[in-house]
Amino acid sequence: MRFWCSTIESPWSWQFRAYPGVWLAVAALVVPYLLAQARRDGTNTDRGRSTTLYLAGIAALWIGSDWPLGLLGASYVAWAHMVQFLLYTIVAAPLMLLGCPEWMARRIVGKLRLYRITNRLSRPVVAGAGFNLLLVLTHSPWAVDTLRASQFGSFAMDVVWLVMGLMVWLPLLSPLPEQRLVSYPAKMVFLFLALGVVPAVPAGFLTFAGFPLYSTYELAPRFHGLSATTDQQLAGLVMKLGGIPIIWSIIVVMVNRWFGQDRSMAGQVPTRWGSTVIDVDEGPNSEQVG
Amino acid sequence: MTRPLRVGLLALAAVVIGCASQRSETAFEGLEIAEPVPMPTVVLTDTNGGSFDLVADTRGTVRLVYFGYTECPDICGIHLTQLADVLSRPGMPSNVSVLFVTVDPARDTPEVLRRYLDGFDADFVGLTGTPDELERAQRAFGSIVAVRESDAADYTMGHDGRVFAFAPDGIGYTQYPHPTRQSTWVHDLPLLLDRRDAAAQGASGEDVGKDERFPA
Repeated sequence: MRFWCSTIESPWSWQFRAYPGVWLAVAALVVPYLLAQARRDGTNTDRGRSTTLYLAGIAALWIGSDWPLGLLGASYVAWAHMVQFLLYTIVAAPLMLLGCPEWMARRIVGKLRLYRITNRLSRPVVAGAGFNLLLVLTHSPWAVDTLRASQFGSFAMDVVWLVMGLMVWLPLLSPLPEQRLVSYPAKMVFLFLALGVVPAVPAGFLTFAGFPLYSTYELAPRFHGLSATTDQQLAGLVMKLGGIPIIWSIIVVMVNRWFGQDRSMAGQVPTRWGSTVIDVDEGPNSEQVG
Repeated sequence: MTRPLRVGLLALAAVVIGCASQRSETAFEGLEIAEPVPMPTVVLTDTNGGSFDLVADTRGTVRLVYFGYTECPDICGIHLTQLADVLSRPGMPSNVSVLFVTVDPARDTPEVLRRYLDGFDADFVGLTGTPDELERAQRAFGSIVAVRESDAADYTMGHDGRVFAFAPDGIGYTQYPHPTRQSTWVHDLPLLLDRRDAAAQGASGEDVGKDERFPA
């Protein structure tokens, strides 16, 4: 039995494989969260919504890490590797941030002394450049072929992806209001550049490369007859187009909020999605769905 | 920048460029054989039931000979997929013969072989024979002779993972173990095809292919 999905040499099979490391990681992320929420007193009015968002993020993380997608991405097909990447960075990470209440985030960064570092990472240039630098590094043939070959390396790559995802969404969705961008145009430009434009460059390399870049997928037993070249082109398309519906949906919502902002600004500051507002006088736990 | 430094850098650049260009023009990326050997004359049975002379029936082409079996769980399928992908690329030479010789004649009937190879490329040639003929063929090519690994019904075969490559001049210059990447094939196949010129100039191994010239 293996702890985490990594490269194996046997032909692909739909027979279930257990990866207890994934289950442990999911439990490690869920149990403390639920306990903390449960121990919070009755003033925690937003518990249901934040718990749902957080658990949805964890579900995305689980799907991306466990059999079958985790194994397909670690060992057989590059397109699954890219689906995993998108699940980690543009589904799981933002949902986890949205599901993390401010009081919990303050407690975590306080105990782990992360306030200063998260403050720095939440600067748009740092978050955007850091995300894209790590994107290029973790998708280089060396990194994929080396890290995916071992369980520990594969686990490390997944952790880096999650951290990247959390980092790039901090300027938009940080649970700490002081770390978030305020202006809608700035949010939209950041989202467009950091998650829309720059990742298209490595995606282009994958789509139009003359040869399969990753030996892991090129030399793997074929998955339902899919050739290595077609698989890599699919991976490029997934990377290039997979995030578009999410990114552009968010941008469209932001444009709507931006135009509607004038009539609802008095005494209020915009929050993470712009769809909720905080009444400054009532404190951090008084978020209301707008 | 001082003149000696400039001259030194220019010289260094020339050496680097020279080495790089020399490698890309002449060197194979596969395993080069120190003393190239001619292709042995072996006659087996093809998937139509006819006799197939591995040398005479593929004259003028690059021959890629591989000893495998259709129930192979890993490397046979990977080798064949790689070759099918590479040969279907634009600009790749068309006169390449892929010869798949079974090492498991009990299960790999001509029909089974044909169906298996058609899953990769209908032009791949499937070859079989009696156990003795197949063992002699493996020895003639210098291949490790395959062995059955268990008595179970779904047994596997321990077999050689190399593809033996022979240029149109009938000489084997290189071999390709598992794993061999597509970039290696794309680099080497045109180089192997170029060895046709040597054959045209009278340096052919076609007429001197005798089993005794190969290691047993």
